[in-house]
Amino acid sequence: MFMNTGFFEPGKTKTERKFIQQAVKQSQRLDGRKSGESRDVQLTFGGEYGSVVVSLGDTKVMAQVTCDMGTPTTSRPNEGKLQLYVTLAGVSYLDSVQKTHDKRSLTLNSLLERTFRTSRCVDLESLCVASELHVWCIRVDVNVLNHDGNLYDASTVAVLAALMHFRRPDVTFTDGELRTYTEKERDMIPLLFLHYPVSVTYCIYTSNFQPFVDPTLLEENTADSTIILSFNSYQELCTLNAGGTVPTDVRTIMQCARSAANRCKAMVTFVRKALDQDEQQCLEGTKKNTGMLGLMENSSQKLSFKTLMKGDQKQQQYKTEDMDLEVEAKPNPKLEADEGENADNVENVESDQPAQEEELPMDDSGWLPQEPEPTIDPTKQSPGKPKRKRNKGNKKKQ
Amino acid sequence: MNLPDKPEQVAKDKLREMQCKFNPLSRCDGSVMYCQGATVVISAVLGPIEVKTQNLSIDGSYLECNYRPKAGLPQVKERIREAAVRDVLELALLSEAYPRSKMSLQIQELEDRGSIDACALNSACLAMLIGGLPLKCSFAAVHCIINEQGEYILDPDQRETEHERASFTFAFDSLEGNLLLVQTKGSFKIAEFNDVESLCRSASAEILQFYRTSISNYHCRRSDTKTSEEQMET
Amino acid sequence: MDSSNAIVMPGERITIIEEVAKEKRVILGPGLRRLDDTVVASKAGPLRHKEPGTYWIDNYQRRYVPARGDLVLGIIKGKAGDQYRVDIGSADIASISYLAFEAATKKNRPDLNPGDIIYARVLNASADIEPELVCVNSNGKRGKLGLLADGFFFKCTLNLGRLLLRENCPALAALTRELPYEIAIGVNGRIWVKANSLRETMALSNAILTMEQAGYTEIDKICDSLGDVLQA
Repeated sequence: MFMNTGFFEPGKTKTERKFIQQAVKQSQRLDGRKSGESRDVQLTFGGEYGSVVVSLGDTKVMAQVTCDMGTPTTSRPNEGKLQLYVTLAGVSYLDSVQKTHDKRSLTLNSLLERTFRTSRCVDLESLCVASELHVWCIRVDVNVLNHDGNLYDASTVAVLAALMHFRRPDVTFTDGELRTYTEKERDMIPLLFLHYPVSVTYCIYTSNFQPFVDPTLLEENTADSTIILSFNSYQELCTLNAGGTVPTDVRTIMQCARSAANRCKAMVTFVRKALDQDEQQCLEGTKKNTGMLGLMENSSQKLSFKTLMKGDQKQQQYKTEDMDLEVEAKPNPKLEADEGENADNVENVESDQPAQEEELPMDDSGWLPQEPEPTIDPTKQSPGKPKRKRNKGNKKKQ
Repeated sequence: MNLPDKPEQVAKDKLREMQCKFNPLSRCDGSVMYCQGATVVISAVLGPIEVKTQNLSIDGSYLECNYRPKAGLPQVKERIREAAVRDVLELALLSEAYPRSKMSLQIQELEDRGSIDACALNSACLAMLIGGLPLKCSFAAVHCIINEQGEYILDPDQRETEHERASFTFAFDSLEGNLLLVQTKGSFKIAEFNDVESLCRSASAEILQFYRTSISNYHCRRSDTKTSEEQMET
Repeated sequence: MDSSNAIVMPGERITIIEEVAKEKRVILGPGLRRLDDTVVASKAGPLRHKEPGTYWIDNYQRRYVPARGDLVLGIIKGKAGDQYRVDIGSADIASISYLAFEAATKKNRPDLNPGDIIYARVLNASADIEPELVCVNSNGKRGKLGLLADGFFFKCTLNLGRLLLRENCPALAALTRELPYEIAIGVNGRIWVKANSLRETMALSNAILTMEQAGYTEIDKICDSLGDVLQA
């Protein structure tokens, strides 16, 4: 009845809940981030194709892609298969607390299924070798190593990066004979993608309707609602998962969607860059540590979002404001509290505004709202940002 | 493959470079990321914790040991590895210290580039040490192969295992160097076995020394502060 | 204190203690055990010594093992009969009787609910029975024990908890110079803090957590930056 005392989960006591609710009211986060600021993301590619470890703060997820020849289903005879398996057991010790983790594993599983399988991001038809006979079965194993909140984003980034890193052997099918070529005979073939989806997670609290991106475990456990949105690099929505007890209004979701779309785009760019860099290092043979050994070394060596995307800022002007938040080096906690206060001031000013705008008509023009009022966004980080995004959105739509 | 062809040539009678990182994970009582050459594993321990009634033992703690491969579900190979780790740990664990409790050990393979059995065992020992679980002794495992030319290769890389005639895994305890585990595969003469055993035994001393220095470094890093604090008090 | 560089490994015989034991009584602390006539280590870490004859092995263990008299922070998990079940981070869940609170009677029960945090003392602890807690001292007064409301609560390592609990801990004294606060530290590696405002509480808990990572030498630096944060 009182099992699982071995595990300590933050955010399960009243004290913590009350405290976080109060902090949220003042738009403060314990680690000093702003509400729209994410933790740094780091990728470590393994020695084999399709093997990657993603670190998002202290959250660590490993994904491994493997492939196998198999027979297709009768309903889709000319399509390969993509299977996703999530493991919460193992070193993360997540399986042992029955109730909550069951839910966690289900949510994570369904999120990944919808983001990658249902959205058809991998071109499965290209995985068909002989219709009704031989297709490639791609299997993705997601192993959670450590959980410090936001497993969802870490997992989707891990799966995407692993799929993009993966190469399958070449195969020919002639005269009823299947021939698989080794790497020496023919080059390995990367998977074909139709689009590249990643997710962004937000937490919403009753005391403040402002969404908090990339929650830590403490924030996640104390949150009243969690919204997970998956977007692809074309800023199309792939998954929306909204659950919890806060009645969330459309505007909040739209606001989440807007910043999530941009974040996802940046994330995909980052994964691409990381892959390029990794490949280049392999070609040049300058890679210092091979494979997962990269996890041992200091963070300066890693492929991190903050360092890789720094240069991107200059090239892509429209994103500048957005990136400012991302690029900031992690300040030490003392300074962070300082910044938190600045953010607080900004937000307090802004959050007064939506009160006058209560009766805005619901936006039905598409997922990326086109309406010009910047004021409907009670929490945006900088006034310039949404405008630029909207411009971008317009270009896309036309 | 994604790796450069030959990382670095390690002499045949030397262990590959060992590295470890303590407590990379936050949820468990002790964890270690351990690598030997390019083989990387993470081990995590939890304990003593509450035990299910069916596993409860009144005169000792129950040891749970799981090994997870990188891809797919644990198969027979992984189960055997798991059983080997459990057998060795049961010999080394001082289980009567915490009766009616459970000690849990999880091993996650991150990259297998040869000698994974030995790595799993060594990381298990380090995790136990850093998690503060009571042990009767520490232990070190060494993998060695005999290749087709009849050469002994200690702690082989994956590429070297392709030409193996026989492979051996030994685990030795830290007290008297007793053998805790022997796993052999392939055909060999008993003289060869004895040679390999003594080769591995001498290598195990190096591993035990590595444990000692790593833990000592870990303590120093944090306890220099404590001594200075002591000075402040006086 | 012995030099911290020399560490002992499990299974090692510790002859220094055996020598001393011939002349006077010694107390073997955590990580040491007696095997017939020898003293053997069971954990890895530096051997520590305190006059007159106490020896133990310093170890960065994260799991709390209850010991009589320890002050711990527990989370109420539920009620069972006339007891509350309390999570104190040990192997077994602890229990505290309804009557173990100040001025509690059969009729006048304390009002605690799952998720509440209490500061309690361990009354009974042994390997074979579940730990029992009390929230009163021997005179039936609560003293500093009991329910902790508001504030913030977080987990740290056992070592940090023990360090802060030492008499005249310089870290706490240094923090006191910066701002007034209430703190409850459990040897089970849990800390509860409360300062005048939310921001101060936040800054304080961050300072304590930084101390854990950065080491205690930097306490002055941490306090300085804490002061800066609060003035800003």
